Amino acid sequence: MAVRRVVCERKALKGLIRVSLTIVGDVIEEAKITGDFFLYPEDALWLLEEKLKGVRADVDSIRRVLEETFRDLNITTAGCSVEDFVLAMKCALEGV
Amino acid sequence: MGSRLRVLLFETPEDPYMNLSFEEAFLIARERGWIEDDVLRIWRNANAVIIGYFQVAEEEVNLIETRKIGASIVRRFTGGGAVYHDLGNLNYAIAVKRRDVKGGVDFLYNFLLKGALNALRNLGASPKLENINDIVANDRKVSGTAGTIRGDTYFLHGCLLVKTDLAKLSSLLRVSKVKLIDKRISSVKYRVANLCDVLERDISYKELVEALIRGYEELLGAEAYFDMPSSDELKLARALYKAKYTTPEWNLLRLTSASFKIKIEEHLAKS
Repeated sequence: MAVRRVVCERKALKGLIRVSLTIVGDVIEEAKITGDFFLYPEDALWLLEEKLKGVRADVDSIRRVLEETFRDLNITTAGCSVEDFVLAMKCALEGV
Repeated sequence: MGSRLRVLLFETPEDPYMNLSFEEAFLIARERGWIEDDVLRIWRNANAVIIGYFQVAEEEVNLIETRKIGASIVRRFTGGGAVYHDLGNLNYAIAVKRRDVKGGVDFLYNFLLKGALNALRNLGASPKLENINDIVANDRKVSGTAGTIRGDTYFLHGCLLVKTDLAKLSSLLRVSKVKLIDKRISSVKYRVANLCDVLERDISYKELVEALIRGYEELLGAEAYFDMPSSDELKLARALYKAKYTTPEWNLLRLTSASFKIKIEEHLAKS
């Protein structure tokens, strides 16, 4: 199966979100989110990455998982939003 | 008044790993109630690049330049971006315990940050809060801040450029292309200035410390007193130092704090 590694950086109102995805076939095998954004509670970031594993590599599936995880874990941010994370992933997938 | 503010000037400028270990130790001490009063710490590093919790050093820092000038790279436990610390930069950190706070993150940047704004006003500047949590004076960023919440304890720390070597700073920190294109951000974030240049005068360490203490006394309605780290705080700082802050795993990989917990406990048990 084809393995792709895609990366994209997105500037939120405050903070840069850098996403790198390893995609096998059409499924996310690994997701890494780095940058200088603010997300609370901090350790939820690693859970977000965990939740993205095995998710279909399309924007709708990713959006569903991210929004659900933000809600379930009560994630709050400062200067960025869940949509910025979605758009960073979209940019990694589609190049825009 | 009534409440008291414990002030710590404890610092290890030549050992930034200990400085960051102690930063986490005194927060934990306040959170666990080992310390009865809210705490303000003021401290410096001599030559270090401090990166945010979610960053990867090689993406943010010019590693060749860092090695050349012998600066250490240390990760902190709060989010946000990489900063350069030399003795011309003064760090402040405040930890308060509050049971009745609503809107947690807001309390960090719209309330706790005000102590630093008061301090700058006390020194004669006209500081403004911009871009969520940057402190700007004369349209230049003089202080960046980052905060976290642990249970009912609210923590904010910031670095204040007083007389930092800005050429060195910009040679060490990499700025992403996306950020440079984004005028809205680059206009604030990457136009930094030293407070000495903003005020057009020298400012002593003593004057800065007094201004910060007064700034936080005013904000919290508390009376400040100087204190030394407790033996429990130092013991915890040493465990954090050995098990976390001096390890390449913490500083260079981007691992969760939780993965260091067991090792820290082991070091504490041994000490």
